[in-house]
This record gives sequence, C-alpha cells and structure tokens, in this order.
Amino acid sequence: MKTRISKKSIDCLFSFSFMGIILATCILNFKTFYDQIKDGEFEREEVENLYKSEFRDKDKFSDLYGISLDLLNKRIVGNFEYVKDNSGIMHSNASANCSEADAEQFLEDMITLKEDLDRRGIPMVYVQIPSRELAGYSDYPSEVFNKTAGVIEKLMVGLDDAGIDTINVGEHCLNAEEAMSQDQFFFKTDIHLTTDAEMWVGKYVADYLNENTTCEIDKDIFDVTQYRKESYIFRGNLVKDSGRYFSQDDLFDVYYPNFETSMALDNRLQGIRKEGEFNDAILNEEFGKYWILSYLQWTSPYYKITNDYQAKNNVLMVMDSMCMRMVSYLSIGCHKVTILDTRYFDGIDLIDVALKSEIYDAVVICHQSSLFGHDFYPERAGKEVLSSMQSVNGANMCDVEFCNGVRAENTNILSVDTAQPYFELSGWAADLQSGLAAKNVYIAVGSHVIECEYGIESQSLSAFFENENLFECGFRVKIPTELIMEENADSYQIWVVSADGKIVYKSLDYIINGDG
Amino acid sequence: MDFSSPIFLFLFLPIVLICAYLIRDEIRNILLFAISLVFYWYGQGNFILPLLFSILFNYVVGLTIDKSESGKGFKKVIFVFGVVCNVLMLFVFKYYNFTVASINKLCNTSISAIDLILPIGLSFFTFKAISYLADIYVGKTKAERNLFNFALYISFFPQIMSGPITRYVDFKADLVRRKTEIEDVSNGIERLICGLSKKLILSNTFAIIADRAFNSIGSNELTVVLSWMGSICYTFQIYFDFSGYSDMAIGMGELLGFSCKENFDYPYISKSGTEFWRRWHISLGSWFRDYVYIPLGGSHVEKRSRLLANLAAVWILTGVWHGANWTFIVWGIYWLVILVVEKFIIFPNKFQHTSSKVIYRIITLLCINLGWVLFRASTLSEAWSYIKTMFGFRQISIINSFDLFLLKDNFVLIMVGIVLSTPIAKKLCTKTQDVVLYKVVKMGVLLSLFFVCVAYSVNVSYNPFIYFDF
Repeated sequence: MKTRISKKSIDCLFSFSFMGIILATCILNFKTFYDQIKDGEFEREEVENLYKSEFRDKDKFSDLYGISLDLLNKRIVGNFEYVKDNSGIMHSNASANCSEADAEQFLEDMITLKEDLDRRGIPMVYVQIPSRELAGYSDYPSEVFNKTAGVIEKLMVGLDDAGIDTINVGEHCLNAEEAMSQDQFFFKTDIHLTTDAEMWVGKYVADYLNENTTCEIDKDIFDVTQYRKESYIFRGNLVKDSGRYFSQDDLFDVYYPNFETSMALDNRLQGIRKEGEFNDAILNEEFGKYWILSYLQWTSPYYKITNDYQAKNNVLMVMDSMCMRMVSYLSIGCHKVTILDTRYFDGIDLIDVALKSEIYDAVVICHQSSLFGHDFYPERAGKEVLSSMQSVNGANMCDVEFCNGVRAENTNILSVDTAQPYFELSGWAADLQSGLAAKNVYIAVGSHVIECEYGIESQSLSAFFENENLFECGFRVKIPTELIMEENADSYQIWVVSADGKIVYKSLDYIINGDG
Repeated sequence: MDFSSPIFLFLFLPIVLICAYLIRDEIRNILLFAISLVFYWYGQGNFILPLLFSILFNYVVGLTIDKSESGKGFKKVIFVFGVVCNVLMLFVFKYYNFTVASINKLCNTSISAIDLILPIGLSFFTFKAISYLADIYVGKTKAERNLFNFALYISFFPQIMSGPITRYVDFKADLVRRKTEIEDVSNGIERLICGLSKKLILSNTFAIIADRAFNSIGSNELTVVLSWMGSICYTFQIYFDFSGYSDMAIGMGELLGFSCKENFDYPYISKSGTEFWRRWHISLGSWFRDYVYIPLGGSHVEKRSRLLANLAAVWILTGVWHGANWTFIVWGIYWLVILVVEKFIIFPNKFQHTSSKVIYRIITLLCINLGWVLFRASTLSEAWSYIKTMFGFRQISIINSFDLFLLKDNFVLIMVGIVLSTPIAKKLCTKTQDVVLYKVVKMGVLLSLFFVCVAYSVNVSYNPFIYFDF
C-alpha cells in the first residue's frame, strides 16, 4: 500500500512538473507569438521561425543542444551547417561554398575593374584571404568542406594571367618565416580572422602599397607593441546553435593606439558621422554586441575614413567583414580610406560612384571566397539587356507618385534633400501599348541604370484603366543621394521594358532639384 | 502543425490541456473538435474543406446505413456509395494527377492535370471513415448520432496527421465516457516525451545522413559505404519518425483520456517479412486485413490463384496508399513477392536450427532495408541506381575519407538506434517498474530528455516531414 501511494505521488509530481514547465514556457514566450499574429496577417513559417529565434533563454537551450551532441560524440551541428574538427575548431559549410561559376564571374569583374583603373592610372591589388579549410591547417577530410581550394587556385592563375597583382595570404600563412599557427590565425568559433591575423595581413598589404604604389605607409601601424591590448571572451557565429560547451571560447583582442589620433568616419548611407580619436571614431558605440562588428560602426555598402594626422595615401578598399579590423588600423597610416562592401550594393554600381568621388593612390580588393557570387557591377546585366532593345518615347507609360513616402505634388520636379542618405521613389509603370504589366522598370540617373523593385500592388491603376492585368504594376527604388551628387545629375528618366522584353519606353526627363 | 515544433509544445498543447481539464464534460468533445479544426487549419489553411466534407458526408451516410434494414439492397447501395465517394475523394486529391501523368506517358496523350494540393492526413481520415461505414454495415457498431462526437473521431488532432488509424468501435467508449487518472496522464506524458525524443533526437539526425546519401544518387560522392550508411540511416529514420509520431499521438490521446492501440511493436526484431508486417504500422496492416483481405476471402479460399490475387490486391493497395508514385507501387509488389515466397516456399516459422533462424533474420533485415531504398527514392531509376551502388555494380569508390568521418560521427547514434529498435530498454524498465527509486530516476531522466528535445526543436531548423505523400 505504501509503495502504491508513493508511486502515485511520483506520477503526480511528474505530471504537474511537466504541465508546469509547458505552461510557464507558454507564458514566457507568448508575447513573441502574439506580436506576430495580432494584426491578423501572418506567414505561418515566419511566425514559427521568429518564435524559435526569440525563444526565451535560447542560448541555454543551445548549450544543452551542444552537450547532447557531445554525448552522442557528434561533430556535425544541424544539417551540416557547422562542423567541429578534431582540434575543437568550428567550421561553417556556408563560408566555404564557392562555385566555379562564381569565381569565373568574379575574375571577369576583376578584369573589368583593372581595365577601368588602368585608364585612370590607379594600381590595384587583390588580397586572397585563406579559408579555414586551408590545406595543412585543418585535420578535416577535404570532402567535408574544402571545395574552394581548386577554385581559388584557378582564380589566382586567372588573375595572374590578367596582369592583376595578388597577395595570397594563404600561401604566406604556410610559407612565411613568421607564419602564424592555426589557432593564432583563426577563431575557433567564428569564420573571421583573429585581430592578430588581420594585423599580420595588414603588414603584407602595407608592404605591397609601399613597394608598388605612391603610398608611403608607416609599417609601425601594424606593430602591435604600439597599442594597448585588451582581450575579451568571445563566442562567434559558428557556435550560435551549439552553445558554449560544444566548443572552446575565443579571445577577441582589441588594440587601442598608444599614440594620438584624430579621425572621422563618414557613412552617409546610414547617416553616421563619427569624429575624434581612433577609439571614438572607429570603434563601434555598441562595443561588444558582436565583436567582429565592433569596428567601423557596423557593415555598410559605402563609407569613408579620414585621418587628420596623415596628408598622403588615399586608398579604396573593396572588402567584406573579413578585413574590418585590418582596414581600421590601415586608416591610421592613410589620409583617406574609402570602403565598399559589395554585399550591400543593392543593384547600384557603387564602385563607379566611389571612383568618381576621389583620385585614389591604390585600390585593394579583399574578399573571402564565399562572396565571389556578389556582383561588383550589379547594373551591368541590365545595361546590356537594355542596349539591345528598341528605344521608344514612353512618357505616358509611367508616373512617380511618392518621393520618400510623401505624395509628389509636381511629379516632374523631384526635390532631393542632400542631407538625407537616400531618396526613395515609388509609382507605377506598365506596358500600356499591350495592356500588360511591364517586364522590368529602371531609373536612369547620369550614367547609372538602376533596376526598380517591380510588381507592387497597384489597385487604383487597374481600376482606372479597367484592366486586371495592371493590378501589380507598382515600382519602388532607393537611390543614394551620394550618387546624384557624384554624378552631378540634374534629371532622371524612368525606363519601362515592354511585356515582351523587346522595347524600352523612356519617360521624359524628370528634373532633380538638389537643394531639397 | 508539427507535434515537435515549439509552437505546438508551448502554445497549442498547454491551451488544449487547460481547456480539456477545466471545461465541463458535456462540451469537452465539441471543444476538442474545435481545437482539432484549429490544429488542421493552422497546417492546411483553406484545405480544411475536404476534412469538413468528409465529416458531414460520412456522418449522414453512416446514419443512413444504420437506419436501413439489413438484408435490403438499399443498405448495400448506400454503403457502396459511401465507400466509393470516399475513395473518389482520395483518388482526386492523391492519385488523379499521377494517373493522368502515367496515361499521358504510356498513351502519348495530353490529358491536363488539375492544380490540387494533397490535404495532410487525407489517407488517414479517409480510411477511418471507410472503416466506420464498414463497421456499421456489418453491424459491428451503431452509427454515431452526435455529429460533434463523430467529427471528433475523424478529426482528432493527435491522429489526423499520421495515424494511428483507430477504429470507431475502439474510440466510441472514450467519446462518451472517459476518466483521466493521474497514471494515465503520467503515462501519456512519458509516451509524448519518448515520441518527441525519437523524432527530434534520433530520426532527424539519421535523416541528415540519409538525405546526404539519397541526394547524391548518380554522383561520385555516393560511394558503396555511403550508400549503405544512407539506407541504414533511412531505415532508422523512418522507424523513429513514424513510431515517434505514433507515440506522441498515443501519449496525447492518453493525456486527453483516449486510449489507443499500439501502432509499432519493434518491427526490426522480426524473424520474417510476415512478422515484420505484424509489427510495422499495425493499424494500417489490420485495416487492410479486415476491410480488404478478409472480405475478399482472405486465405480461406479454395484456389491458390485466388489467394495470390487477394494478397496482390492488399499489397498493391498498401503500396499505393503510401503515395502516388511508381516507387510505392513497386515497393508494394516487392513486399508481395517476399511474403508469397515466405508463405509458399520458405516457411520461416518452421526453421529449427538457430543458424538458419539467425541467417533468415539477417535476410529479413536486408529485405526491409532494400525495401526502404525503393520507398525513399524519388523514381524507380534512382532506386535502381542506388541499389547498384550498394552492391558495387557502379564504377565508384568503395569508401572515402568523408565516409570515414561520417561513420565516426554517427557511430554512437547508430548504436543507440540499434538498442532502441529492440525491446531491451523496455524489458529493463518492466523489471524495475515496481521500485520507487526507479520511478524517481525515470521521472528525472524523462524531464531532462524533454529539455533536450526542446533544445533540438528550438535550435535545429532541419525537420523533415515524411508524410506528405501518405
């Protein structure tokens, strides 16, 4: 009898514990769910993903997931998203993805850029950042991740054949006298390089610039003894799912200059301007939120650093997050560094904008292999297609309705506030000749032809023309104010591609009033 | 909605349990039906109409059969009409496009397909409905007078997505009168956690290797070793997935006061193919036995050819039930051949020597494994290519360093899979079930396991759903 009672009370305890857990978790996470569905319109998948990503104490559940993987002696996280190697170093599947086609496209872009820079008399160098799967660095079977080696080798040969200077950091890693060990060069838990590695890469870049361009960069800027070092415990993007116990923690080093600096970071597209010492201008206000982005005020497509203490050296860096710390310290040795990140070009040839804005001493391209797919010249494909079409006057095929969200009173004149980073146009465009929606819509400003987002609901247009085919003929486009200024553009046109893709209807000139 | 999703576990389930325990008995079934509709609507959206139609139609037909006098032709006509309409709905949604595509290919015609989405669980709730009508027709049960009770039987949310295919005769007692004891609740939670663990920790992890192998069909990445690993992992994946869902369904049923028969009984320890089908998806096997095989005469027929025809009908239908694809039909025929060979040539039940029993067990496992290759492949040619790779008939390497890495990475998991596919753990638990300390430890382990399941559910986005075709 005594045993029976005890067993029943255990059943009770078990059942109430379980009910308590699910009920408490329900209450703790209810707001996330409610916020998603309260408007009545929601995408089931989006709701579920958000519910998962914002789950209360998700990091603790990630830790638990990591522990269970360890118990099962597993090193694959999720569906091969991340893998831990024998040394406890994390690898990412996505970071190593690089197709041959992407690399070929990238090579073509490099050749185009080189030709353009040759015409302008600007030297260029390509810096190849090694992947974590660099031969000899990882103990992993090459089939797991290393699909880049052959592709990169081919790319380097292609660049060489095209007469483009290169710095193959991977080669230096293996062969240089001061080669860094794997754990010094790479984080265990993040795809990026350690700060020391970026400083090390910076030395090679500075050497190249000093030897091959008119730049005169003080090499001491990459001497870590010139700085006060502080190290912070860091858990990177490769362990966000598997938590703290699955892999070891990293240290993120920040080097604070021991000397005086005076700099400004100007990011017009995000409306950020920071001035002062290196620590004030370059280091992020939200220091430590994600350590990699603790430099340069988050990532952005186009921004500039000016150094008051240097009169020479104007460098254009085309890069991604792999070099954010290297370029930050390089800027200490340069008067001006302009930074472009192709990942955020968003359909606009910002390289062209940047090249028109300055006369550079050198252009440095520094990319990780997974970003070869990002187009350097996103307008190029559209321009090529448009040039093969018959061009016809199409003043009545489109209209601008809103500028920066405000209904345009006089649509023929567009007032651009130059203090604003962007101006956004929206309106309608259609192939009224055939009574159908257009194939594409572009905005032509100066030498730029920017593809608009097209297919937005346009109920009033459809009702006005009593034509159901015109139900989704709205367009929207966001153009950096910088582009208008660099181009000195005083007008723009809307180009509407006919439904069959054979004719481009060009609107009359819309006047740009730059005073705002 | 997936039982293993955080939204189900921490939003839907608590609300269901609160409603089920706090609301008066009289309206509890109506509420559970409403909850089941919400559950189905969340996963299916507008495709709730076939379910509603099935409920109303079968309710009316059931009542009509019940009211008709037995022995009269009208009763039979109504019954046949009901079954035909159910099968027709299943055909239109599930098989029409496949049939049209096959006819177009064979006869070089161009009959147009229709743009329809297969409602989730259609095969399950249609089979429930047919068994309901058949049981009324043969007088096993009376028709349900209460529409909401009948609607709940058809749409009961724990079972609608992936079964088990419960019979109305088993379900009706709980519909009218059910009492939830604390032991039932505790058992229900235990089953739910076990099912979740099977699905999230085991099945989804096996799925990664299986998918890797089956997605590499035709490429050089698929070596002999990887192909075997893929098929073995799929064998585990489908078992832990399907039995995991059944455990969750049975567990949730128990939590709500509904008892349900077992759907799986350690099928991979079977001594023969025949035994395997007595242990695998029991509710489907018994459905075909009771509503197809026995009405056709079963094994009590004079001519062997008739028996073969009956078996063929059952196994082709079993294959077709799993999906509108030639791979499923061939898979059904494959099992027909194995079972006919066992029934008329090999007689595995009569093996005397241990060695022959062991060898036949291994052969059975091999047959099961190869059967799953047919089942998993997208086309027959893919299945053939995969099987050729398994047996080294393709000019491909036997093993590479990636395979070794995968083997090492999944060794513990495969061992766990093997152990949990057998009743070893269950026997150990049974032996110690009267020890209070054991119960305390078990409670702790289960709750810890639940937290691990939540960790998988929240962290791993990869969650394959293998019942879309069913």
